[in-house]
Amino acid sequence: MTDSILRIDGLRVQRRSFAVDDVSFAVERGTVTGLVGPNGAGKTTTIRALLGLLTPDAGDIEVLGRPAGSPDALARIGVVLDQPTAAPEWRVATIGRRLSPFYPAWDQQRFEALLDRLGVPREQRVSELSRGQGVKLSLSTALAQRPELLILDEPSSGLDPASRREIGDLIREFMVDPEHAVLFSTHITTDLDELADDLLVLVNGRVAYDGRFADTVDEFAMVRGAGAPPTGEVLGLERRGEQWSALIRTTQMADFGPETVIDAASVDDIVIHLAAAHGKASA
Amino acid sequence: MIGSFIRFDLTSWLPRRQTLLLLGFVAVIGILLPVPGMAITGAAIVTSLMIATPFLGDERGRLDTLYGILPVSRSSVVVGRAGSIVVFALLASAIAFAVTVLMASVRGGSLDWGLLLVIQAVAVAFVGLSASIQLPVLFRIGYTRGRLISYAPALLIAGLAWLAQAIGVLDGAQEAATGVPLPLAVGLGLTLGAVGIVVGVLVAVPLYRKREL
Repeated sequence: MTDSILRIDGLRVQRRSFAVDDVSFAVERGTVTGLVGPNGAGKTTTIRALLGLLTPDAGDIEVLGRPAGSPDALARIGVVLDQPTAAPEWRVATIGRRLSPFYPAWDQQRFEALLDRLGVPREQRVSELSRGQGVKLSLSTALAQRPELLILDEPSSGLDPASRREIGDLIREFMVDPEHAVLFSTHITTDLDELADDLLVLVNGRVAYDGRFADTVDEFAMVRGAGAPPTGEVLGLERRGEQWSALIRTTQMADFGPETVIDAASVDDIVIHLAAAHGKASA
Repeated sequence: MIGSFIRFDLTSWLPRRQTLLLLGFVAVIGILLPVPGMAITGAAIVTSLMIATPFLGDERGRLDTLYGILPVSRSSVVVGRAGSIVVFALLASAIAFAVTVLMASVRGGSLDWGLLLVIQAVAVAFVGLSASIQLPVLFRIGYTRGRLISYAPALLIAGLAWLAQAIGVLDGAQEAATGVPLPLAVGLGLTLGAVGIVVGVLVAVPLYRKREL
């Protein structure tokens, strides 16, 4: 299936000195889309706009065939933010009872099974959970809703590798159903390596790259050298003393001589150099 | 969904210690003060001050964001919050009435039911006025920026009373009020209370829709 579960067209959000401008992309069913970019690139603003948490200045957003923030759509979206959206004094075990009336497809057994699997202590209060446990609680809550679309906003920041792997495993299990889709915003781009089908890079509130994740290897390369900077067309040149590195399109590899080294570009390379190309230091 | 939200909202803030202490305070007023009707007045003031409390909980627990991602319309959130405040007001009034009756029997005095009904009606009107002022502000800007609005209803009434006295119409107004038939006074108070809550909700809904969560 390749029909869009989420579509944003010409999104513009202007807030004081910060703006998301002309952001357009779609997330197809059966795919995981990685959303990456430096701090302040507009990832969270874009996610908040598509959830209806803020009103854009311009643009069309359609989620599951409904406008952003529509209760019908929200009932079918699982959301994991960087912190749990739960009162600090709530006990973990009570959260299912509190939220289930709002979600027609709520699966209490699944919620409890996920809490046990992820090691979230049911009798603890939300305020007593570690950051990792809080993210796991949010993920358990989101998946217990039996959503079609899962939206994760930097859930893995500050988590240990084992916890990040658990999140990855749950996303893979979620994606067994080809009707499902995931939008995964992260700073830790290696989390996307075995997960993402598509990659969206935001820099300075604009889309700097939107394409197939696997194609980035064929599309981009890193060129490194010393001394005079390259004369060929590059995407973001970084200099450290005599050394320089630049992101290039693979079609331009022939423009660089034997004095340079050309390697495959990682997603981090792409983000850092696209940010540099757009005049923004990467986080 | 409004019913679900009222249940959700009440279970979020009603069982908290400070909320229960406020209800206990209403009972203490009725027990300690020998003037019948003071507990009912206290219940109204406590309810008015309490309206901001759930908004404090929203900010502390990031519940505003939760309401934004729950499949509930923003108008349902506003109506549901007003509903849960009405439930609190009824609870506080019931406690006040029960303590008033109980203490009257303990003290061996008789109760002027007509006066109590008028006080209750005025209390309802005051809660309605409070809701009409506080709900729009708190839904638009939240607890941290809007918390001082809790004192606005009492200040407004005190200000109007001072103004009435200053221009010499307070005594006349009091005399006119004593001449109002009991059913009309009670009906007027209850109607004003209901209108206040409805106005508060109607003004708050569009303001809350514009708020970034």
